[in-house]
Amino acid sequence: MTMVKREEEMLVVSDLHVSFGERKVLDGISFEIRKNEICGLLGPNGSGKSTLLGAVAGVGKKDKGEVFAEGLALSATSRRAVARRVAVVPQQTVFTMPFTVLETVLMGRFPAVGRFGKISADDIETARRALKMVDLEGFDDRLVTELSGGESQRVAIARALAQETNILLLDEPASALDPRHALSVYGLLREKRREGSAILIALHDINSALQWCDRIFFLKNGRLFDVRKPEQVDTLLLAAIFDVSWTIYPLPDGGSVAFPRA
Amino acid sequence: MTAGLLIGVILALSTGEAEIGLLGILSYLLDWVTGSGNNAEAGYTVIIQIRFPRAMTAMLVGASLATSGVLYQGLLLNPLAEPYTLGVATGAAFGASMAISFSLRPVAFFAFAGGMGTLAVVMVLGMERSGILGQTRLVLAGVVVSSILGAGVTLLKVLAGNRMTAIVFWLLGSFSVSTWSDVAWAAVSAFCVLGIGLISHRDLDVISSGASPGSLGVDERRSRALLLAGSSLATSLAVSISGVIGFVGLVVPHFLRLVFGPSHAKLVPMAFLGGGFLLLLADTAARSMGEMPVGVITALVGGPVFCLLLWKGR
Repeated sequence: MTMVKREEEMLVVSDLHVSFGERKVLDGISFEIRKNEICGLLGPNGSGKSTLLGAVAGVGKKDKGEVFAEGLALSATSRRAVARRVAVVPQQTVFTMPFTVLETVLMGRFPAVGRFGKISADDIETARRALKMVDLEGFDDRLVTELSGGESQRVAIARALAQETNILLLDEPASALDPRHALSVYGLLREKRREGSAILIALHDINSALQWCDRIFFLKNGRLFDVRKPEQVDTLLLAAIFDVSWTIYPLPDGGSVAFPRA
Repeated sequence: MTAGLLIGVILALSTGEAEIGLLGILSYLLDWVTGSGNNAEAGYTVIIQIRFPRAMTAMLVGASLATSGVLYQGLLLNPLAEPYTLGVATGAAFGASMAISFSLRPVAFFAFAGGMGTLAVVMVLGMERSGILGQTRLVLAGVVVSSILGAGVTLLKVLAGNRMTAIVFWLLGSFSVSTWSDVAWAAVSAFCVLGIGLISHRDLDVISSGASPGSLGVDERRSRALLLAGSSLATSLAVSISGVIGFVGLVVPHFLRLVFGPSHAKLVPMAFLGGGFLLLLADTAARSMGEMPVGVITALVGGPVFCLLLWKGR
């Protein structure tokens, strides 16, 4: 078991390479995410965001490099042990079998209870708390196959929260959510950050990244092009990443918004 | 369900040309258990050497097929999947047809080898570069390999001359010559798939829910391989014992999922009992209709029931 040196570095990605056939999708990506930090992953379509998220979660392809979650090298750790440390919210959630909402969120407790462990009252309480956090209180017995896209996405978020991990990876967590629920999910991630979590979010929307992230990783052509704090993001960088012109307006509260221009 | 099975067994043991009452059956069973039975006595032989192994075999084969059906449907995320989707049955039918055509014995061995050989080919074709058995690739591979072997079976039937009847009857499925050795093999099949289903019930929940299994702690490659190998081994054994009996592995899991929900902790044991019960009843009905092939009964009853479920589930 390989340990990394600094304890506050919850998630360390070291020299990650992924290729599909001849095509290099990720080419030597390295970064770290600390405790109490939300990082955004931004880049144009096909820049490797979802592949990176999959490789960091330990479920996707990885040709070279290593990911350390709370000091543990993922390649030397069992799937269950990884899932006790890292939770993932996928970009799209399609439920295929008519499990109830509570049954689905309880699957987030499987890594903790194991193959034969009994689902306890505490596990059910954890799942119900997670459902309350995503505004799905009272949905326990609804069938997941009958939910709307936004409700399904919130069930997937609740399932990840029920894993009670210190590291959260999310792929476009608010893509199917209305503004109220999107704000509520980002507020929830802030709360998790305050409690000590390390969070990585793949995003398309630059303004969500500017508003909610502590640092933003910019990916282009499978490489980590730059890492910036929101206040350091400028039009030159955005133009280099997305190949369009940008205007950035300051906001009265100190933040900023960016718009692409034709 | 267990009480239903007991009643089914009694019904099966009391059905047949030789009329033996409930007390007679119980006394023969008691003799058998205590080792004081007399094989020279006709009634004892009918109950212990003919009807009882037949009922047990039907029950265990039904349990194997229905439980395998649950595993296949969960694994392939496909409610239309059944134990025969991946070509195991057609492979077994091909093996059995070869054995009958060329007088190779025992037929069951060649059927089993045909089923497992087919599975091996389908698994190789269905494996993605990542080493994971992808559900779409597996189903496609199963359909293609089944078609090829199906054509092979037809060819063998055409070329078999006067052995064609034997092939057709084998393919329709029957328990008419079941022995205690069949019971033993059927038990291996049924308890193997039950064990794997129970050990993996949480993996099956996660896989069938549509989640990314790895992110919820499931070792997807290992789990899929174990589930597929277990359910296919059970299906191959079941088919080699009784021939191709359709619909049990499709209708029973469907019906039970409607009643008990999709959680595999309940679904796996209920399919084991439900499949056993259904095939026992079907075989008893087949016997009381003058040895009708049991596959005909399950298809005639299972087909319309499935249509009804499909209609109601709109």
